[in-house]
Amino acid sequence: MTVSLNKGTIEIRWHGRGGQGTVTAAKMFASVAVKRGFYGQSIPMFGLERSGTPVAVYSRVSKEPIQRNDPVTKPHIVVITDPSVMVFLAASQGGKLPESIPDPRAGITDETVFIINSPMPPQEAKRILGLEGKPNKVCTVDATKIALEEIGRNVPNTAILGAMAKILPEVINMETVREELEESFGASSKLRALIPANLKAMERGYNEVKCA
Amino acid sequence: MAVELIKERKAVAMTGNQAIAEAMRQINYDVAAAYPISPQTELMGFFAEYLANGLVDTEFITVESEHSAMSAVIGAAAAGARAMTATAAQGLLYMYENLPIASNWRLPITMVLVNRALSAPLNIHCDHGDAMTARDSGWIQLFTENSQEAYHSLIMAVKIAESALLPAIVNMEGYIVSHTIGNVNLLTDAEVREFIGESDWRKNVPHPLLDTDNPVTYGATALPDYYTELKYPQHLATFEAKEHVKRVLEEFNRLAGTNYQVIEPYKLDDADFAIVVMGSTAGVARTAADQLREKGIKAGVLKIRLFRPFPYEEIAEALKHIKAVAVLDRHDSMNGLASPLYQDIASALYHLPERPMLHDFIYGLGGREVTVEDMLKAFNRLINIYTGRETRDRFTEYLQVRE
Repeated sequence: MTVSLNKGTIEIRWHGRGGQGTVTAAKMFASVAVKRGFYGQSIPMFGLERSGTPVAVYSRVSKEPIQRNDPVTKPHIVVITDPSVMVFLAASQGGKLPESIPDPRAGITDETVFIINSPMPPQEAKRILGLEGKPNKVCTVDATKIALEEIGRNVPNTAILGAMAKILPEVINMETVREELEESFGASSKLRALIPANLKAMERGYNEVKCA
Repeated sequence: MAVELIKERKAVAMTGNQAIAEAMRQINYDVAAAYPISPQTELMGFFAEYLANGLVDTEFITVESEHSAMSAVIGAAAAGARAMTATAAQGLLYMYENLPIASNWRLPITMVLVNRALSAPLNIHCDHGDAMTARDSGWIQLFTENSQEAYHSLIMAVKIAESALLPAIVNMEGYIVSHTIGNVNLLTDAEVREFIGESDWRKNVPHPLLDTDNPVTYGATALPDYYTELKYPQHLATFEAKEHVKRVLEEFNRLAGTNYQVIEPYKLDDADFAIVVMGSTAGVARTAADQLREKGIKAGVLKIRLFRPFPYEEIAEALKHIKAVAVLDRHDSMNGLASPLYQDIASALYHLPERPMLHDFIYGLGGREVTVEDMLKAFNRLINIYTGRETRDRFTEYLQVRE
């Protein structure tokens, strides 16, 4: 039950909040894709974003050069890094979200896979998304808890990437993320010290993600 | 001496700003002067890191305004230095009065313009408004589609500027390219440095101010008796610049395995309908053309890489057989006529015995997202006007205005 690049470009939409590292996670994702020999792209939603504002980030990964740079409207994978999105969705009871929050359900198909940072079981997340009985795969992982336990800070990126490695093993694996972390953290000894904890968080994300 | 960092070619993921900073490091300019403005701020920040880490020899002048930035690089280039600046939008407008001076003095300065909409209303996002104001400044202008092209183009621009003896702008779209991460194949430091050649203040410009044995005057007055004569060589040089650009592009293609041309036709050979566009929209337009071809509509795209000097002969040749052409310009000149790119395309086609029908779409203003659907809409409107299914009041229209 993995997503494969054989059918063409995989398009991903991330839902997070400014300052929670969603853009960083998406950039790491693109960088890892390039390291694996693919074409990778990540497009932050820019501008006058403030810390805490809901943001959408778009990524593409492909075996061919990527032509498009427009927002992803029909995602193959939706990654929700901000746990509060599910809370808002639950409160909306299947209705509309507040206008400021990009709707993770927008443009999805039966094949769209969800990877959600949330302590709730995947069945519950699937119900809240209104996807009960649908073929969609919905996965949850408590990446925030993992991050707090392993890294000591609310930086759920690597745990999320671990969960993504389960869905997209062609693109993400432990070894490449280690390489990426060593390159991006390498210059500072303070950051370098965080690499083992981040890799542990990624491993836990991979092992603890549950799908329905 | 600049540190040699990249000894083997490699594919990396970089934003446009990172890629340009990387090119700046490899080029190892003698002088850079800049004032921060979004979306260029981050680019100079990346470069400042290289500088602080001792990786480049560049004299980085943190000026108090863009006007001073351009003044500083003009002075540096006239002295014989390889010099650059980077800016966007109002920053370009603030330095504008110095732009035609750099070009008339034939100074091979390079500038990265991180395209941003002009105020008002205040907007930090992308359109080509800033680049279009510089279209009559005598600067060479290249447009780029992604971070890979931006990286390559700055390297090429150094050589183009120094061989044409004209300043050159590399346009990179704000946020859409400057902040989007994508694949960049980096050349080695040695390859870049060999391609552009070592900076030599005695050779970068024909008459360096530092050559005190042969003193010259820059900035002298020329009254009605000589002004024309001091403009005419620049007029000729601007036409000749196209050949310099072509030659440098070819040399670069041989080095990097790219296929850069002054224009980039896509499926135009048998096309009935075409979009002409510059910058990052080209890929979205090509995607739309492919989708139309699946439905049996022969659609194509012409991307313009070299905007100044305008390669009108190549453009006429590429478009002469097309039934109808939609020109897409990410700028409105507010001239009561049409977008600047439309006017240039119309001029390029005017002398053909038979020419395509032309239509003008203004789009993507102030960072408005440009989708494949937008491009399909442009194609469909063009086709409907051509076939008489729809009429038009003017040949210039806004593509994306909400009603």
